[in-house]
Amino acid sequence: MPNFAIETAGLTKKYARHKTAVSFLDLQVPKGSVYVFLGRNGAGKTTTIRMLMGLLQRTSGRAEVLGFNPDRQPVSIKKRVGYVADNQKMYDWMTVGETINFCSPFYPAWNKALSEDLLKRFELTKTAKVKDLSRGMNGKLALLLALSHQPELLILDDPTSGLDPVVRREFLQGIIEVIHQEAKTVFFSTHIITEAEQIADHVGVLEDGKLLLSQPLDELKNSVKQIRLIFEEKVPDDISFTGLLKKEQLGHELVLTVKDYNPEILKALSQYSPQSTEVLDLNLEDIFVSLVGREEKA
Amino acid sequence: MRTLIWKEWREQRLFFFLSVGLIILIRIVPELIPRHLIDILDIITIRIYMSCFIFPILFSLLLGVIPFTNEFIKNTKSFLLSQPVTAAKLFWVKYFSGLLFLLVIILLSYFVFGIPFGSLSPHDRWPVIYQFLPMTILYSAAFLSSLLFRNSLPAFIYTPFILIFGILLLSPFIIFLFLISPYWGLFNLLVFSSVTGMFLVLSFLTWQKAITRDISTIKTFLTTAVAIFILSLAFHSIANLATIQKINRTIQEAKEEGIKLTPEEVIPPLVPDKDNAALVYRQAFDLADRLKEKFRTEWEYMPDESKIKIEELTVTQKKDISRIMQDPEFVKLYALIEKAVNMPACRFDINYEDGPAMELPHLAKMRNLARLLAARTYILAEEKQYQKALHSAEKGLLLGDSLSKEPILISQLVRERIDITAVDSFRSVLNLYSGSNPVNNYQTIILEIDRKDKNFIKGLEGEIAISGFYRFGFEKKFNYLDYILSQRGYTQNGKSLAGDIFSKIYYSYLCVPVLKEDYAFYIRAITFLISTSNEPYFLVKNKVDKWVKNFTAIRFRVIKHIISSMNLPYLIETFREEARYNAKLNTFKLALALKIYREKHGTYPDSLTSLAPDIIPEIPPDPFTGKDYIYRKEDKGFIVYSIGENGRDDNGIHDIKQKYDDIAFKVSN
Repeated sequence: MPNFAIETAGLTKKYARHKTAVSFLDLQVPKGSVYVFLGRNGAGKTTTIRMLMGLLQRTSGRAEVLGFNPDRQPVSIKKRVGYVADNQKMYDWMTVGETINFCSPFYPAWNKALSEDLLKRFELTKTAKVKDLSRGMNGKLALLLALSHQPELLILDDPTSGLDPVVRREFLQGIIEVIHQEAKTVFFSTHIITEAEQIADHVGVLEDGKLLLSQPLDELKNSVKQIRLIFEEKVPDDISFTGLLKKEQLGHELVLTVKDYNPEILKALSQYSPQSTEVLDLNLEDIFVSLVGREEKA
Repeated sequence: MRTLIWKEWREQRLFFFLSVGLIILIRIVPELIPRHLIDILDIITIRIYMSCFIFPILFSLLLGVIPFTNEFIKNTKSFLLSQPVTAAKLFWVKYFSGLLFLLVIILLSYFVFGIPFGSLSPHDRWPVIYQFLPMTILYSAAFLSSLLFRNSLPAFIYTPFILIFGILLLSPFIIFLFLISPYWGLFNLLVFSSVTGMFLVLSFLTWQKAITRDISTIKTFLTTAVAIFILSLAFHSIANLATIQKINRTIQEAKEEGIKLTPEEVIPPLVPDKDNAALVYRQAFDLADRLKEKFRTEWEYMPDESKIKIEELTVTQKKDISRIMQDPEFVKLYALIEKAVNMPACRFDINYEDGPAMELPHLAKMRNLARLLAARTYILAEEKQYQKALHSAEKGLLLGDSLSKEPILISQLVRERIDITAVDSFRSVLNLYSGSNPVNNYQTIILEIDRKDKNFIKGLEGEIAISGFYRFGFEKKFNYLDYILSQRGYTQNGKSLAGDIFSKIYYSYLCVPVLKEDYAFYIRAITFLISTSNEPYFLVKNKVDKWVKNFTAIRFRVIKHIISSMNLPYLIETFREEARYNAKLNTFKLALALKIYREKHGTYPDSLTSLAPDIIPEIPPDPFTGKDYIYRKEDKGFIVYSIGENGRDDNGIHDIKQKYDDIAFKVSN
C-alpha cells in the first residue's frame, strides 16, 4: 500500500503557446494528513487537482492518487475520492433530495445514514431547489455529496472561494468537524491563508506552477523564523547567506526572514556586532508572503 | 445507468411534452377551421410535409443539440464528470436516450398525422421505418455539432454543414460500399451505418478525448476527421484497384473473343470524295428540302413526313404526288439517289468523338429518301409502269446499304427500317404486275438480299468502341455527367452544373471505380449480344431470355451498373429486331422465288421445298422456330410468313394491339 494518498513526480501541464500551468510538480500528500495546497489565484492549484482527478490530460510526469493512475483509472479514483470542485455548479433544476438521489447510485459505498446526518448538520432541506440555495448552502451540499460515500481522500478545490466571511467560517467549521470525526486524508486547496492555518497539518506552497515548499506545518513554522537585529550605527549591507528569504531595513533595525533556521545562523550574524538580536516566530501568512514575495489579500 | 437516463429524461421532458403538444395542436387546428379554407390551404399536403419532413427534421436537430449544450451552457459538465462514471457511459446514455425520444416523437407524429402504420402491409412499412434512418444521421450530426460549438444556436445552425462535411469525408468510402453491395437495401443500411458511425466516432472522440480531458476540441476533431478521410480514401483505392483489375481482365477476354474496343478499331476509314456517296446524298438531301419548300401543301401528305400510308391517300393526293415526281427537281433527286446507291463507298461526316452525344442528322434524311422512293414505286406501279417501279424499289433496297459501314447501332437500325420500307414497296409491284418475264429482275433482287449484312454486329461493336468508350468518360473529351445534366436542363447561366469543380472531382476521381465496374459489365453484356447475333434466334432465344431475366433482376437488385441499365434494355431489343428483320427479308425473298416459280411453271408450288435448289439454293428457316416458313396459296396469290416472336401461328396477321406478331409477305396476284 502506498504511504501517500497523492504522489506526483515531475507533473507538468503545458497549454498551447508554451504557457506552463504546472511545472515539474513533485507532490507527496501523506495518508491521514490535512494537506493545504496554498497558492495565489492562477498559481496552478486547480490545474493540478483536475489532473489528479483525471479531468485534465497531463503533458508529462507521473501522478498517483490512492495508488491509481488518473489517466487510466479515473473512475476508480472518483469512487474513492470526495471531490468538491472550484465553483462547482450542480443541476439547478434538481432539488437537494434529487441531487443526492442522482449521485448516490454512482457510489457503492454511499452511506445513507451519514448523508441524512450531514443533511441535518448542514441544515439542508431535501425539497429545496438547488437554484434557490445560497452559495454557502450550495457548498455544503457539495461537501455532503463528497463525504457521503465515505471517501478515503477528500479533495477540496478552493471550496470557500466567493463565500462571505461568515459563510466561509461556517463552511470551514463543517469541514473541521467532519475531518475530526472521519480522520480522512484531506487535500485542501486555497489561497486564503487563515483557512489553511486553522486546519492544516501539512502545507504545500505553489507559485507559478512550481512547488516552493511542502512540509508539515509545525516543521515549517520551526524552520522559517524572523531575526530582528538592531545596530548602533550603520546597518551592514553585505549580510547574505543560504536560506535568507527576505531582508527588510527600518532605520537601524534589520529584519531577516530565514528558511531552515538554526542557532548557527545567529553565531554567524554575531560577527556584524548587532546591538540586540531577537528571534521571532512567524505565522503562516508571514511565511507565505515571505516565500511568494507579495502579500496576498485575504 | 438508470439515474443518468432519469436525468436525461428530466432535462428533456419539457421539450418532449412541448413537441407532443405542438404535434397535437397542428393536428387539431385544421379541424377547427372551415372546410373551404382547408381545401385552399391544402391541409393534407401540409400534414404530410409536417409529419414526414418538417417535424422529424426539426426534432432530430433539437434532440441532437440539446443533451450536451445543456451541460455546457449551464456549466454542469464538471459536476457530471466528477461522478465516478466513465465518459463513454455518459456519452452513450445521452446519445441513445435522445434517439429514443426522437423515435417516439417521429412515430407519434406519423400516427397523429394519419399515416396508418398499422394498416400498411409489411412491405409498405419499411419506407416509413426507413425515414427514421436519415433522421438518425441528422440527429448524430447535430450531436457532433453540439460538442463542437457547445452552444445551442450555433450548433443548430451549423449542423447542415457538419452533415455535408461528414458525407464528403465518407464519399470515397460510399463509392466502395456502392461496389460491394449486392442489394439496394444492404447498401442503404451500410451507408446509414457508416455515416452514423462516422458521426459517432467523431462525437465520441471529441467528447472522450478532448472535452473530458480538456484537450483542444478542434484539434481532436480535425485529426479524427483526417484519419477517417484517409481511411475512406484507402477503401476507395482498394475499390479502384479491384475495378482496374476487373476492367483489364474484361478487356483482355473481349479482345480474345475478337471484340473491338476502341474507336480506332471501328471508325471507318476516310473515303476519297469521288467515291463517297455521302456527298451525293448531301445534294439529294438539299434537293429534297427544296422540293418540300416548293410543294409545301402537297408535302403534308407526302409519305416522307406524313404518318398516312400512301395506300390510304385519295386519288387526287396520289395524282399530286405523281405530278411532283415528274418535276425536274424530283427527277434530279431520283438521279442523285440512283448515282449514290451505285457508288463504291459511303462515309458521312460524323463526329465520333462526341460519343453518345454525336449528331446524326443524316439518318432521318436517309429514311425520308427511302420513303420517297417507296412512294415513287407505289405510284409507278399504280400507273402500271412496272419496270420503272421495280427499278425504283431496287434502288430503295440498295439505299440502306449506304449505312452498313457505320459503326453505330442506331444507324444499323435505320438501315433495317430503310430496307423494310423498300421491301414493303415491292409488294405493290408484285401485287399488280403479272406481265412478261421479270425473272431476271427478281433473281437480281434475291442476290441483293443475300448480299445484305443481316445482323447488327457493326452497331453493337460501335456501342462498345465508340459510345461506350466515350460514354464512360475514359477519354476526357466526353463528360457523361455533364451530358446528362445538360440534357435534362440542369444548367446555370448556360453552363452545365457538371462543369464546376465538385462535379469534376466526383466524375473524374470519385466515380471512376463505379464507371469502370459499369464499363466492364457493359463490355460483357455487348460481347454476349454479339455472340448471340451470329446464331439463329431460335437457338439462342432461351439463353438470351435467361440473361435478360437475370439482368432485369440485377437492374433492381444490383446498383453498380447505372449507365448499362439505361442502355442495355434498348440494346437487348436489337437482338429481337434482328430476327424480325431477317424474317422480313426471307419472306420477301421466298415471295420473289415463288413468283419466279410461277413464271416458270405457270402456277405457285404446293410447298416451299419446290423452290430449292432450282430457284434458290436452299429454303431459309424461320429464325423464330428454325422450321420452314408457313406458306399458303390464297385465291390468285399466296402468303408466306414467320410465326414471329410469340411462337404462335396468328394466320399471318401482324397487329400489335391484338398481340399478333406474324411477319408476312402476302401477294394477291
